[in-house]
Amino acid sequence: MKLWTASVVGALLIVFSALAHGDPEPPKAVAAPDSLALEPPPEAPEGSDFEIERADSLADASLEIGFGASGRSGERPRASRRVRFRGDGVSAQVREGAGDPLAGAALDARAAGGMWRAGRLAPRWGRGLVLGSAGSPWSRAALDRGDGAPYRGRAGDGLWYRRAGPIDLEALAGRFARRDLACLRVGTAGAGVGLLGARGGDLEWSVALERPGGDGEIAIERSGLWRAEAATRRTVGRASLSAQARGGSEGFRSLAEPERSGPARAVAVGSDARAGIADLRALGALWQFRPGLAGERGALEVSLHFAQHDALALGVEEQRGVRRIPSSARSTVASAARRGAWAEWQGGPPGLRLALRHEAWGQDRLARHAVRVVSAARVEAQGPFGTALEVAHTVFHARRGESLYLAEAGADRLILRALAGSGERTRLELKAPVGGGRLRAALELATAEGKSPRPRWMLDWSRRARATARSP
Amino acid sequence: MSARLAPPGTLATLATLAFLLRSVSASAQDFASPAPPGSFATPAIFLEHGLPALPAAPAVEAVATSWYGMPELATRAVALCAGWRSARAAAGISRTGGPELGWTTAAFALGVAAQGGGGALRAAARRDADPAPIDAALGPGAGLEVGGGVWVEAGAGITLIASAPQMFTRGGAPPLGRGLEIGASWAMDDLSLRLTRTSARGGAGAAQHEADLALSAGAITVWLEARDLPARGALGLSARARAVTVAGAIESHPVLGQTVRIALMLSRPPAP
Repeated sequence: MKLWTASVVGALLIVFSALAHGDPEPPKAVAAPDSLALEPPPEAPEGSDFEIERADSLADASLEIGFGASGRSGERPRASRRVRFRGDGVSAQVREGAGDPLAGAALDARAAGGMWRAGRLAPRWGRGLVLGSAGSPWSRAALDRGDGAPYRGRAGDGLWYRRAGPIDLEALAGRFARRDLACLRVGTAGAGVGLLGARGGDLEWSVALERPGGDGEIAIERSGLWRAEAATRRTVGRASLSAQARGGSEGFRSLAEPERSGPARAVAVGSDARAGIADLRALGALWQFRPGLAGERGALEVSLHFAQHDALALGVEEQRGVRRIPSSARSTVASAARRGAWAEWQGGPPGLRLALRHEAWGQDRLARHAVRVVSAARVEAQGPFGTALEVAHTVFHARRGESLYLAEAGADRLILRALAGSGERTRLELKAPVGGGRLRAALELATAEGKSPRPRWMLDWSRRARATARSP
Repeated sequence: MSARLAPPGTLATLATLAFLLRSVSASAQDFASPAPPGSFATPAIFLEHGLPALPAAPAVEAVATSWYGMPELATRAVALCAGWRSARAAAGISRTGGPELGWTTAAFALGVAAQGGGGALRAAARRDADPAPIDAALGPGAGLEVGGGVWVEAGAGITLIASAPQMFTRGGAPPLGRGLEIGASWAMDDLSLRLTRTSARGGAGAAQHEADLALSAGAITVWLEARDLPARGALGLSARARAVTVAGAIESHPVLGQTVRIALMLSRPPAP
């Protein structure tokens, strides 16, 4: 009976997405430094810093080397090294450093009519139900999974082969979520069938269909547990409307990324519209992990764009319920209603940029009975000889049990710095051309709960070189 | 030679007032210049908030503040600033209170200002006047605070400011905790409006909000200030004659009483 229901619902979702004719998905926004727009993915422990690699690509025949060191008062300094190159059909990167969460290697090579990747893998199939989910029910796609994502995540390590053509072929073997997995996927004309197997005999099937206006996927475990999801985007006048729906068994877990399985049932709608200088964005989502464990989110944001890239954004949002399956009583505290409002302005004359942001979240309307309040100012000044100085100052208050993350732009990564309690954080960063490369030096002073600051520092030097063809 | 001791009652009053002052978030302390909203072209504001003025012409300003009707806790300060091309610098010295409960502050600021925006770093070193000061990391009764500010023109007469005067503190705690101040001012011909929000230092506690409205008629400007926590208001007046500007503001606090700020500034007259 479960299989029959799954087939019907899945078929309906896939047919719905196949019939939808809309615009391809717009590029994903990347959060600005010191922004609160990003949250760590569900598998990241709450209250811990999270680091992720930026997916900036090298030009052909290029080499990049980088050396970094960072430390904190009272802790041993951490050194890191990285090398990347991209040549004719081959690219590779190696990162090394004690305690560096991004340490590891990846090699991409074109061979046997397709692309091979060995090392760190972050694949995405279809909607990601089996491989590459966003985990958050309101997200249309993960920011760190699959090709074209703005960040390179790490779902596992292994070997991955892809061949595109009339018949698409994908094969993968590796270790994901402390499991040895092997996957095979075959597709044509946007449709694909995949099989993922784990040592021990666990199996998951994936059937997916992708069209310019939308996509859908149904995933079934050997036990009969299933999940189906479809998403579509359409243009109506000046507005771009999107919708996605998910259904399935509560016990379904992705073998590769169980922590990103997300809720069993979810519906989300979104709208982006431009009217003159204003961009309007709206989002609504409902989800349920199991009866009694559900959540909802609604948000509205207006962005006004002025001359010289000046912009003003205002937004309101309401959240209720849980975002992930609670692991402790602490998570339950955050399940109550939260009503938030924020305002952000950024702009300034050439050579000087100022960004101001204030965000308040409370239990009641108009963000009263505050649980999280953040005020931030960030200045970036261009100096002579290619130098730049950036100063950011943030004042924050987070009630016990509330999570607060500030995004920091590292040389090669994005860091979501976890903050707790009440305090202030000042970050100074100097960028300068040194030795044919780019030097970044940062100092961070953060005080919380009246304790003395423990300075955190970072040094990074990187250089890119490009091979030039020598004339005969 | 021995210092003359103040009566115990006066000392107790001063100590109580000092404690209350610590709990009040304030937008200024050692160089609290009375200036209409939208104007920060004074050396004292440069030193106090790290907001450099656009004109590079040298200016000198003398400021006196009587805090909450307590002449024993008056502040006297002198500040001067100058600029060369887009570089701006300011220095000043301030004295608050008497020999029993007072302090001396020396401040310095360095920054840049040009059409469209400016910013500066400021530092203030403070030393208690108490002959037996409390030991601190920088020496008995000594304290240091470092911060900065920035302003940019956002067009349509709107100017945005951000000032964090105490990003870094060391040694003896400053008499007033000053958090991040963000605000905007809007100038419409002779009328200007300023809205600011000042976070509580360290993020703990309520933020303070301020709304100011100014009306200019030639060389004379009148302005009103309204603040919350607790609700209170101030009335200010400034007048300019050639190179001399005189300004004053009176603020009424429902608990602590009246604060009077006056300033005298000498600067190059603006071009006609």
